[in-house]
Amino acid sequence: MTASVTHPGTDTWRLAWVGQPRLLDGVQGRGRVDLAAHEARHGSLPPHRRGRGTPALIAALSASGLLGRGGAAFPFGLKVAAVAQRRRRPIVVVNASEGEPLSRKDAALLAHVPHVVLDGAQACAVAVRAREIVVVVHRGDDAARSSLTAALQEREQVDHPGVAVRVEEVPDRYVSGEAGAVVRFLSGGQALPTGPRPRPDERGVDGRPTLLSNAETYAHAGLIARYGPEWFAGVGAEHDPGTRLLTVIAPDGSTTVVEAPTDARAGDALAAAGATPEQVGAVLVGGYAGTWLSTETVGTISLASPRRGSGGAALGVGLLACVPPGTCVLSETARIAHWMAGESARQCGPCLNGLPAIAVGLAALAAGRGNDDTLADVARWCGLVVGRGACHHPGGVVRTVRSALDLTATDVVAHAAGHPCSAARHSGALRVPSVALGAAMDWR
Amino acid sequence: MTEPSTDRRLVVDWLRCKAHGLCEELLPELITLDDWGYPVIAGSVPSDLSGLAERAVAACPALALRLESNPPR
Repeated sequence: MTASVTHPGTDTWRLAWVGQPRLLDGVQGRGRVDLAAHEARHGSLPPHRRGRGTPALIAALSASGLLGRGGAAFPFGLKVAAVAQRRRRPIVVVNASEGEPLSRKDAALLAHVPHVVLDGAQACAVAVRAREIVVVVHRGDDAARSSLTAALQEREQVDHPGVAVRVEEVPDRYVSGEAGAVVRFLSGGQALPTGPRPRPDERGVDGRPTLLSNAETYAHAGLIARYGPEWFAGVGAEHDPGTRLLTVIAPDGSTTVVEAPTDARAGDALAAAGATPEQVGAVLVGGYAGTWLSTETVGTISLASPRRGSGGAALGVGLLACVPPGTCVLSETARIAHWMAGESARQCGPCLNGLPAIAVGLAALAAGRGNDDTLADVARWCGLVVGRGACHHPGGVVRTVRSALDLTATDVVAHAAGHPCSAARHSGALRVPSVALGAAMDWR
Repeated sequence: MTEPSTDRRLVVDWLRCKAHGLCEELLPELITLDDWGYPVIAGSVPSDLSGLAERAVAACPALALRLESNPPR
């Protein structure tokens, strides 16, 4: 039930799917779906949903049950309705900044099916009376950028008059794609998190009501505008219907972007990416701010967002990063924590001080240079950074660290006693960017 | 048993807090400092500490401390 195409760019990935692809439909044998191919497949965006009568789209989005695909899984219909009822004219922001270093799902969407995303943004813009759409990519994301630029040229003749689309590049930093940071950047400031208030729908870009969501969310919205909410909810989990995109990093380091219905299992997505259970030692689920799970556990978890309060592992931006058997998860996590500490916006004391401390402690433990006190310190610092900052960056790091300590409980005791596992000496199974000094302070 | 809590709690604005530590000096009953000098707040403000809490808020040189109503249960 899977097929795949290979993306030809320098930043390579494969595409695959479980069951019937929706967003990625039409990429077979083509690579990039241009406007002619897109409209041949989907028809043009229904005119009655482009112009008047647009509240129909908001009702359809609410009825569809679509949840935001940027990690927070917020009901998209509610978000659009909140923006639509503001008095000032809103602006639409499509967030494809994808600050998660291993994630390629949004880049893949824009590189292969840009018109599916732009249709959704157009339909939403008309629904909330916006005249401006900003698509945000991260600096250096050439595959997404060039496809998007070409798509905007292809659409020049057909787009709804009065809605302008432009592309902006945020600095390639982990926290720069956070909603508040994007709003601040587009308002002329630095791409730094601002804290939870005001929400973008209240006071966003230049103080205007702002509909900001992940690129994949808009892509689903564009299909809902065409095919309706019943069609959308026809596949997937009841509380989180439809399909979703995942980025699977196989144990050999290769990247596959997989589209799968949300009621599929993570094991199905791994299989579609060619990662068989015997090749997988452990999986980091959700991103660098994620959860380490054993191969046995990860195979059976649902791809739907966990129901509130269920305590399930959140798939976040949809990353499943595998490491081979025998990998020292503690060492991999120390490298992630080190990089994430460097990605702190350095605005809040507990994050600025706590993340480096945690990273150094973990590195000592991983190398067998720590002891029980090191372990106790790391645990205490974890408690001291969660929830004590303007954004969720420190809490995300702690989630990964705690899950690594849980997963490797017996190994950790040995590490703390000065007996690191042999794999700790050659860590590097998981790709982690090198820490950029100097340039790292550029937030504009 | 401590004094019954008021419906208020102390909230730190992490973007502003610069670890001056005055809040802890004024209100050690409710505020301790972490390993790096940043305040750790213990629970809601009991009514008998209400005045001191207001003083701590007013004394913060970074304007990083405020009193907020507790969210409804």
